[in-house]
Amino acid sequence: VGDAGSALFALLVTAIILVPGLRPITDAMLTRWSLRFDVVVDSANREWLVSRLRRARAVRWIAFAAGVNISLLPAHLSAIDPGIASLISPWTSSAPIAAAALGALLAELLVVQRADSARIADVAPRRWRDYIGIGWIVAVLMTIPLALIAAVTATAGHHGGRWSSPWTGPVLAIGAAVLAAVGLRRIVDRPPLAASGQVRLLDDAFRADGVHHLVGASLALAGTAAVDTVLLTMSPGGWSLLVGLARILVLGAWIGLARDEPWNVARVPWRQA
Amino acid sequence: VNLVSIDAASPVPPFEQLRAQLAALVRTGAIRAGAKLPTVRQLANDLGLAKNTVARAYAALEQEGLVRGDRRLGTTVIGAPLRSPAQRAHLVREAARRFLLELEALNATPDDGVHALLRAAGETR
Repeated sequence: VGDAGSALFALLVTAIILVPGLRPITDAMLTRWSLRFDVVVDSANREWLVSRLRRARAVRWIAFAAGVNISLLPAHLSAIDPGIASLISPWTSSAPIAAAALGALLAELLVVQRADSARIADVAPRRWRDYIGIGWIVAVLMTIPLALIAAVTATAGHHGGRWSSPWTGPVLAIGAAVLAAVGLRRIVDRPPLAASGQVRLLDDAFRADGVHHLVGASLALAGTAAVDTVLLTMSPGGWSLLVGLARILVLGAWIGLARDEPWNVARVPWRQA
Repeated sequence: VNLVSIDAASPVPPFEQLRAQLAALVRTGAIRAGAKLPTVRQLANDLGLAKNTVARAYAALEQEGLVRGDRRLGTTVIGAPLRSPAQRAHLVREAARRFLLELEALNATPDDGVHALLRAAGETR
């Protein structure tokens, strides 16, 4: 009964996550997206764009659902083997965010490279700065020294148990930064669907969308890892509340960046120069 | 938007097609001094070329004094260098030789080429 209950619960959680994640892209969603990236989606380009957006979103949500299920493993296992459950628990707590970040990367890796065989290119270089504000990248990178300092402090104070090493935080922060770097390189180097015109603008907006999701999830992973490491250096009390708020701030930044952050690739200053 | 294209059916090697187009963009001022060119990897991806082909074109442009390559900063346009009349005459002869090669591949006579050249010059004006 316990196994069946766990399986049913996992199925329910997966369904709750995937139902909104796999639903079709509506006209309202597309309008919101086009306003956000300041592009016009005409009828000639609607189909391929919707297909790309839907596929990318599905991959991200499926990955997130997988991560949530991994994080629930200790709860399922606790009835069978509490020892193993407590053993893997510290490692699975970051799984939803880590899986979301990996999903954002996977969504970009699965984008079809080239729509036609036209061998035309714009000689203006594409840079990651064309697709996201530099502040977001700095924020991801800043979590590494923060987590490292916290880990050194925690190690000096002998905080953390056998399986919750203070070094988990820096490792996750570095891993998130590497994941973001790999994704950014992939997105920037991907050949454009067209060298100019409306398709180029939409392609650029789609890249910016992918970058926002990827960097947002990486920031959430690195940020929560750093915050959790900082928490190890503190004695239980009032500071924990502040750390909790920092965690909410990081997760809020992820959602804000992935859902709402506006960006207009064509108007970035270095493209105007 | 400054575009370059590769004609797979042309007898002119892709490296030379790319070099000539980029050189023309720099010499005409379409790409200004100080502007960056895409990375070798990016341009190779966009044009469906091997990285070595793009790298070779960039190296040739650097030899011509049109761009400066830097491992860290990438490839920067330094503008069309001042040339002596003899150098300029040599470059024009080279361009004419390439043009004749293309005409030959199209089974066109030099006269056809001259007519097309004059017409293109008229359109440009």
